[in-house]
Amino acid sequence: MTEKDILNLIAEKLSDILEIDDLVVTRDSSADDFEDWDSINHVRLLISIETALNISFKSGEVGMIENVGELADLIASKTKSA
Amino acid sequence: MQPDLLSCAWLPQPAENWRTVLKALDPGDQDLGWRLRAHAMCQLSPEQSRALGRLQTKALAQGNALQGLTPFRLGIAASDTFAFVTDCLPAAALRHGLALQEIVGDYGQVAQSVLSPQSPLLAARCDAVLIAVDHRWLGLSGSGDGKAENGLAMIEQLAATLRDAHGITAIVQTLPVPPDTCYGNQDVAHGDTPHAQVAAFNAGLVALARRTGAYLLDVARLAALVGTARWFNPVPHFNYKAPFDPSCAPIYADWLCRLIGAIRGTSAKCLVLDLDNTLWGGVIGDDGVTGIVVGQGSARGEAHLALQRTAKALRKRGVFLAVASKNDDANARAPFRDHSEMVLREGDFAVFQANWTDKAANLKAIAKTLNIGVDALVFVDDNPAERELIRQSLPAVRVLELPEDPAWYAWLLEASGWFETVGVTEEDKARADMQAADTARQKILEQTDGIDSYLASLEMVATIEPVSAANRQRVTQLINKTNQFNLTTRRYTEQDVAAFETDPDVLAVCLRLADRFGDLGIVAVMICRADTPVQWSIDSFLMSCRVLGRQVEDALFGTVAALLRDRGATTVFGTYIPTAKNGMVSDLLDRLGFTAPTGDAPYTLDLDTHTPHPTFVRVDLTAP
Repeated sequence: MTEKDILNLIAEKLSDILEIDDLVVTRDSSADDFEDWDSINHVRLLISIETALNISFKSGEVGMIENVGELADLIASKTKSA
Repeated sequence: MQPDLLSCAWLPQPAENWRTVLKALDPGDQDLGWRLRAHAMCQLSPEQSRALGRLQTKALAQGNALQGLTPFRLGIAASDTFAFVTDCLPAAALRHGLALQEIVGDYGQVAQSVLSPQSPLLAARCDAVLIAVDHRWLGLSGSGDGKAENGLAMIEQLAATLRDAHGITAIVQTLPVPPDTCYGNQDVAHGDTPHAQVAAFNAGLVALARRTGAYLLDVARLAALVGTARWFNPVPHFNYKAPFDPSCAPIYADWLCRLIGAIRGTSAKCLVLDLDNTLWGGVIGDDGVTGIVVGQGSARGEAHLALQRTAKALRKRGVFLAVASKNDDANARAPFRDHSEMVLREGDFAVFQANWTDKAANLKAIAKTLNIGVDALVFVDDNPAERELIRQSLPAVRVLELPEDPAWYAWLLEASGWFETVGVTEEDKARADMQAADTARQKILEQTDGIDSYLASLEMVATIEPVSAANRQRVTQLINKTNQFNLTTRRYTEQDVAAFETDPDVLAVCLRLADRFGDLGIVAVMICRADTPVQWSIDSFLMSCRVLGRQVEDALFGTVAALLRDRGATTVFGTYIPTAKNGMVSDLLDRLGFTAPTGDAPYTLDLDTHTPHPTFVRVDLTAP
């Protein structure tokens, strides 16, 4: 997966979860930029990505993500090794 | 490949344009309830389920009555993050004919949600409250004796408070055996291990549910089916405080909603079976009775036989069986008569439709014969084209998706949970035999020359008795399952019914009918309430369609009118609440002699001048 694919996937899942059509994200986007991106929607996002890519975040990893860029890097590290 | 239980493998994949079709649905559409229900009949992700839920909420906010769906308010008191599950609830509920509204208590505040009088859960007037706690919350994760008893005492306190203080039924969960171990293989032999404590808890919970009138959600069974190694995945538990692996949420939601469906009477009532390559291998018209594959000795024959056994077991607990097959009638019946390995016999089927007409027409005929809606049919056919035809032309029918290998047919039918039940009554067990007696009655009708001599020849005896602990389960079942002959379609739980029994301002009676062909069991219920000492209203008046056209409603009402007069009533009010299914009672009150209303006023009957209709039903009254 290229970084662009990963960002597209994150945007697609976020768009479903936050109910915003054609949502756009960059590496710098974070929960502060979206009113409804609360902790439960954050969990929804992570689980939908885990399901879509058949990967699993390690315990603790999910608490360290600060923005979309860090999430994309984490996903990239897991899809590469798979 | 093995069908994936987790994603509800008995359902088809959603269509490519699923989301586009959903977006085109109009929240104000009169048929939206039916459309949502059909749209939920496939394997859906949590996101897709939430999208269905949003449309449902929007429609309800606009005042859409959502015809075709039964409303249900479910409170949830959960020990862990429950959003994974609630995301999956809208699709699961719609699939089981429910418009579910869930009210979730505060995170982790299980006891407060139930015990605190200020709890939003209690203010919401829920129809039931799910107590979703796991072995950790109940303190069964470490070793130690007596923990099961403590856990049970906590659950009992919650269930009893809900019932006694708020009149709400609890739904309680059995516990899956956690992976926690002390002695490995010897865990099962020691009373102080989590394994043994959970087993003791589950055994105690069954008795607790019976005592408190709570409903059982068998999570232990579900987790065993999907595998506890997956169920207790520790990562999402630590990362997200998930009660179980989130991949199990869709099937958990389906299990919960099938239980609620059974409580509200939306479970299916008839299993419609194809014959060739479904009940046996091969084509009877080509292969003949000796050429079809069924029975012991061949893997395929045993697989088809397994489906027959499942069907036979369903029939024994009151599910109707029907055949819908493209065949000549004589060919189709031959194996049931002449093949020694067949488990199902001709007499097991309530309706047998073997002809060359399209299956949609045959399914409609089956529903009509049995006096049920097509939404109460489950259709099993190995042919994908026939399944698709039914999905397109009769979207309310529950069509079982099947892989090519017949080994999965029985397995998937059982996994679907479409015939879920909350209590098997004596009437259920006897229903199949009653159907045979119906056929005998039908013969008499054909032989006698007039309806009066037919009714007289039936020698009907109605026993009218107060609703009590002895008949409460069946009365509740009738209240929740009767759709057609039902004046108001008000649904009540067993607890509600129990409350009527002791309320001096309520008269609740039921009617048991017997005739020369046998006992038909309890077939009608009537509930009246006192508005003032002299003015009473009909709250509920319902009757099983099996006894239509036999003057039973006249006999029941005549007796109830007399009982009300004994209590000092002079006037009875009645209201007809129309639904999609109860058109047959739109003129019931007129027929019984009520004066039709003007404007919003109810129907009125003056008891002083009322004379009951004479009937051919002899009434035995057990005085309330």
